[in-house]
Amino acid sequence: MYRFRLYIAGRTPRHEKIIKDLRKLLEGTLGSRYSLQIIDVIEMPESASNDNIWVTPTLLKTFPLPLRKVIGDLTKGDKVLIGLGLMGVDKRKNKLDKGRK
Amino acid sequence: MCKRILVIDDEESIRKSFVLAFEGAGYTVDTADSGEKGIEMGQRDKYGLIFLDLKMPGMDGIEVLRELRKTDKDTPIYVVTAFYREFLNQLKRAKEGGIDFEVLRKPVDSEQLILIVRGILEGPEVCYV
Repeated sequence: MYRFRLYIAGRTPRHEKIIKDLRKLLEGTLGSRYSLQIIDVIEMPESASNDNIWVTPTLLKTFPLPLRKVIGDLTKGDKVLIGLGLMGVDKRKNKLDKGRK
Repeated sequence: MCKRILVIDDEESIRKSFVLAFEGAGYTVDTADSGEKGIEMGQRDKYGLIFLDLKMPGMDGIEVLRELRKTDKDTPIYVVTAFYREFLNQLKRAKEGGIDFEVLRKPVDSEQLILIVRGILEGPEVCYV
């Protein structure tokens, strides 16, 4: 299971679109093998500090290691996947692996 | 996307450090030393990105943000502030008013500034800092 945290500031329609697009991107790449936690820096500055977040939006991959942080325009799906090291990941891989066992 | 950047900050040393970082990376930068001047410039010219100090004498960053958003809903505006609850609480006023912005933690170095600008104007960036 891949784990991500998205750090944002507030929840405007633009933020909702970023979240929706990211979920679609991750779903298309990893299927159901991911969790995405949304953290509002305005409400939870301590959490941002713990993860050394210095700008919003930041998408952080926490598992599997290594940690990856992607900042900037998160609507550009291909570049986000490259940044996360997920380009070329096959969303059916786990299903196929399970099928062999 | 427009590659011109506006920096609104009352501290000259901060404005100079932003200019040094951005011009060194090939971007055009304008600066404003007050909220009032920043509003005038932001409403007169088109920018790809605006950096706005939260704490300034006269009009503070929230008031400037609110004014800028009256005429421009789309330009990314980064409010520059320490990530402490006492400062971020001030941004709740803007958040609750549905005003769109992002935040950048103070202090910030030139490497981080360039990563943000590239990440916004040219696509997302992986950061290791």
